[in-house]
Amino acid sequence: MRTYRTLLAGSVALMAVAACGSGGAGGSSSHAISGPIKLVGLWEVKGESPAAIDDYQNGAALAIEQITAAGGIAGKPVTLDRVPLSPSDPQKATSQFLQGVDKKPTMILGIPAATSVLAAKTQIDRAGIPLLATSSTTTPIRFGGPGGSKWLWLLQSYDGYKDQAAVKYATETLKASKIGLTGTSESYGTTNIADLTTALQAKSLKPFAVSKYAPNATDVTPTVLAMKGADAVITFAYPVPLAVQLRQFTQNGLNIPTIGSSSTNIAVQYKMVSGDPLKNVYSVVSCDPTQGSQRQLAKDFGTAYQQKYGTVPTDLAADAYDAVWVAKAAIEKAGSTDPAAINKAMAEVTVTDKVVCSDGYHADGAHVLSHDVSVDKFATAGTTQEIQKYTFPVQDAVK
Amino acid sequence: MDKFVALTASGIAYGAVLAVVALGFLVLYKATGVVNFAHGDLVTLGAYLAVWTTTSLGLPTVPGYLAAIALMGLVGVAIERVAYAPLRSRPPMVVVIATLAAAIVIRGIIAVWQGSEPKTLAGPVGNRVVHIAGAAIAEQRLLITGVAAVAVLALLFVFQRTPYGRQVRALAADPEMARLTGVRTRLVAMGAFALSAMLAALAGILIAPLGAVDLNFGFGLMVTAFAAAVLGGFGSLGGVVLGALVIGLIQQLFGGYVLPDYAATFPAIVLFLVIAVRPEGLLNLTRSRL
Amino acid sequence: MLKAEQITVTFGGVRAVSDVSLAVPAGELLGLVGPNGSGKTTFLNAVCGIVPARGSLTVADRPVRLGRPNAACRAGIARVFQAPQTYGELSCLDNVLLSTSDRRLLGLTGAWPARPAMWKRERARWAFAMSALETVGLESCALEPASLLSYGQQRLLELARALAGSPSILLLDEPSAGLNDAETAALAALLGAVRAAGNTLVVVDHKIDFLDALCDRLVVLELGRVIASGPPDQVWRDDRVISAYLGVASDAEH
Ligand SMILES: Nc1ncnc2c1ncn2[C@@H]1O[C@H](COP(=O)(O)OP(=O)(O)O)[C@@H](O)[C@H]1O
Ligand SMILES: [Mg+2]
Repeated sequence: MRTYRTLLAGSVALMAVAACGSGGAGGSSSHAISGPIKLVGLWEVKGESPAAIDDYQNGAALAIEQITAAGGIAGKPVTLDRVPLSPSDPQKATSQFLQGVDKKPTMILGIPAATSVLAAKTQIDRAGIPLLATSSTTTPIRFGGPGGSKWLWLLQSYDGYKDQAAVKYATETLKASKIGLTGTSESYGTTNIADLTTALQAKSLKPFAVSKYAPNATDVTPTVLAMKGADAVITFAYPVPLAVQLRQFTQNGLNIPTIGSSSTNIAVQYKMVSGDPLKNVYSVVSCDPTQGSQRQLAKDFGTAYQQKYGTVPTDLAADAYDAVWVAKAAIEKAGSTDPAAINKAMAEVTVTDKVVCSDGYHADGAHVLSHDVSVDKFATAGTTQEIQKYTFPVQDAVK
Repeated sequence: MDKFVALTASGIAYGAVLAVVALGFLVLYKATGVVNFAHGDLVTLGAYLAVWTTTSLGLPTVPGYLAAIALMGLVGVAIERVAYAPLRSRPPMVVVIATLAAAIVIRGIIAVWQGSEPKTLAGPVGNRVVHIAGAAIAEQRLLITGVAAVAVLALLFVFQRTPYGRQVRALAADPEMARLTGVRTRLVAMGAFALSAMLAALAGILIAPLGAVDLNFGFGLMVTAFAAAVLGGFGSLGGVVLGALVIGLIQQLFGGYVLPDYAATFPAIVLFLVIAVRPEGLLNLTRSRL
Repeated sequence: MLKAEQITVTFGGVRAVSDVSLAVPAGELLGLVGPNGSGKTTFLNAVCGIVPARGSLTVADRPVRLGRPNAACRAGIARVFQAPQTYGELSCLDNVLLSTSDRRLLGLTGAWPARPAMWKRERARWAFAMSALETVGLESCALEPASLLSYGQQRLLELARALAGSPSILLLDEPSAGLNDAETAALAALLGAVRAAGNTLVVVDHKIDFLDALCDRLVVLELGRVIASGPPDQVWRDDRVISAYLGVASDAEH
């Protein structure tokens, strides 16, 4: 699940940065792997900003520990350096990215918010070092889009696929045809409601009703009343009003199946909603690293993480963990520390070893590596069970 | 019909919370002339303190709430001493800017103390509902309305029937004369800061169980309450309560029946219209003495 | 009782009050006169701290900070304005209660946790305020809002409020303005009684007969300066006073 503040940061209005030609070296693989391999993570640890969390660093450090124990990358030792990059401050992303470049890493990982990726686009083009972003994959940062770059790779599956997965699950599994759409009345809710409407139209359906509420709403009675009579509700909202919505459904005696976004997992994690209101609740997520996952690798990761840090991993920890394993595979495939060779390998490599959030990472034309979306079902106790997994088709570069 | 009842009930409950926030705003304004833009963050702080007393200190719900409100009274006095007293003789604009700074400081302190993760506050009535004319109404909303009504009446009593209220009303009407007549401005200011912070905490505690508490929790509430206060003329307590109820009802009924997508922007529109039509409620005119 | 030295008030470039010094012994009723615009009101404003002023001021030999109304109030200076400054939405009784000299339990503790003790004090304050209202003859309007009173009554209410603070010195600005002859006579009797009760007063007025009957001493201002001072009959014979008033004779007779 995305953490709360990443979700907030990601919803900041996107500012398109004009695309310009990509620079960087295009040499051949002449740098055979010699010295230690340095990875740089662009993320914070607790205390670096009020909102900072340890999840990314913990996930990446666990992967490094496991890789080192198994003999390193291509037999060479690997180090993980870090530059704090705050998801809520995209203005600073450019200089923080350049600090990462100054450390002369073999590859750069991280950047928690898509807005920060977008803000740093020009420097990403210029630096000529492969960047594997762990932010959510929004429309503009895909390759060919205004924020895309030859050097930018996107770990998570495309945001639009979550909308499609929600519609697919509602219509195919829940057999719903009267589907209501709700969400927050800012860019996160509004864009997703528009995409959901398109996804419904592709199935020759119209939304049963659409209702939006303020991100700080504590009362969504109009929404609840508008959804009376729907067979399913899909909700893309911030966690707080989402929790209010789920509770008010129950209070009004409605038990409509509700499919939410990763906000649902956050709302449950922070105990904003529990018990009866969770009786008929699902969420579409790019990764469920809990013990409810269908993947054995995810369960193994959860166990190792729990042992090392004493807590259950979040999807953010899993993303950073996976990013390190993908970097390892690309560097080994390139057989070189030459940036251009690694970048080329990023386009070709398929990663199935150890990774948690995808059955196989493989880049498509839009530089998106994962095509999997999971559907979680909640138990009233707040645990999740991954009950469905969709694999979406690869995309071409955006035109 | 049940739709109308449900929307009206939620409008009244929301309006009641707005009224408590707006009254906290107004008490301070009347007693000291300060428009306190840190009020929203005091709402947030009050809710966090209640989370702290009920979870970390393990107090039962209602005593925990009362402890949080009492602590907020002390916080109010501390703010008066630290932030307001040194600026007492500065122009109002300076003080208003200082309140914005205070808002950021309060938010920063909460972030360091409690982190940025949202917290939930247990309500005394849980998720129970009552059915009125076919509409399901959460007991928490009835509780909000009842407690807010009691708070408003208590405040009216303090204003109309006690020597403290007498002095606040005199200060509000003419601060300079009040000083010359012997009104104890410093005492009144300290009391007003305490009272205002306690009202902020009460509002936060009433509404937090409906959602969750995070760093931005009180800010939006304050902006809407400010609109309510301006709509009510920024003067009489009764006017402000009425303004709050009107905004609460407009938001729910208009939002439920007419323009659902724009419900969240109504208070700002009202604020804008009122300021455009009658700005005098916000201006402190200087007077000449013969 | 009151001693003002070299009080100067300037508005922009204009010296409305210029180096005015005067002393008022305890128990005196001092008349302050002068043509319109001579600075009488501004002088009173300076003494009670509501305009910024330079100079020095003592009450009962204790220095009083200028420009601070609350300092003036604490020093025992009370003021009755020409245009009444009462609180229209408060009752007459509440208006008078504001100036109470019993300062205990006036805050929030009195408003809520210590109500019984507060009510006890409040009843004593009420009794005292009612006696001040009786002194000026407004006891029957005690519970009405001050805004319902006539202009003259409002000024009496202000007088009652000033008296209820048990001031060391009372400053009155044109108390007879707008009153008819009978009312003026009643006011003169009232002020005589107030003074007889041991109060010290400074009275600004245009009605010469009214002042002559009340005052031991007159101080005359012109263009912000003191031009004469002494017993009334002597002052009115002063050449400078005569010439000052000739130019604005119609005003003086008003
Ligand atoms: N607030 C003020 N701003 C500027 N000038 C003032 C102000 N108050 C009084 N004055 C000026 O000061 C002078 C004295 O006025 P005032 O004290 O009211 O006279 P008086 O009471 O003797 O008639 C006048 O010239 C008046 O215009
Ligand atoms: Mg005058």
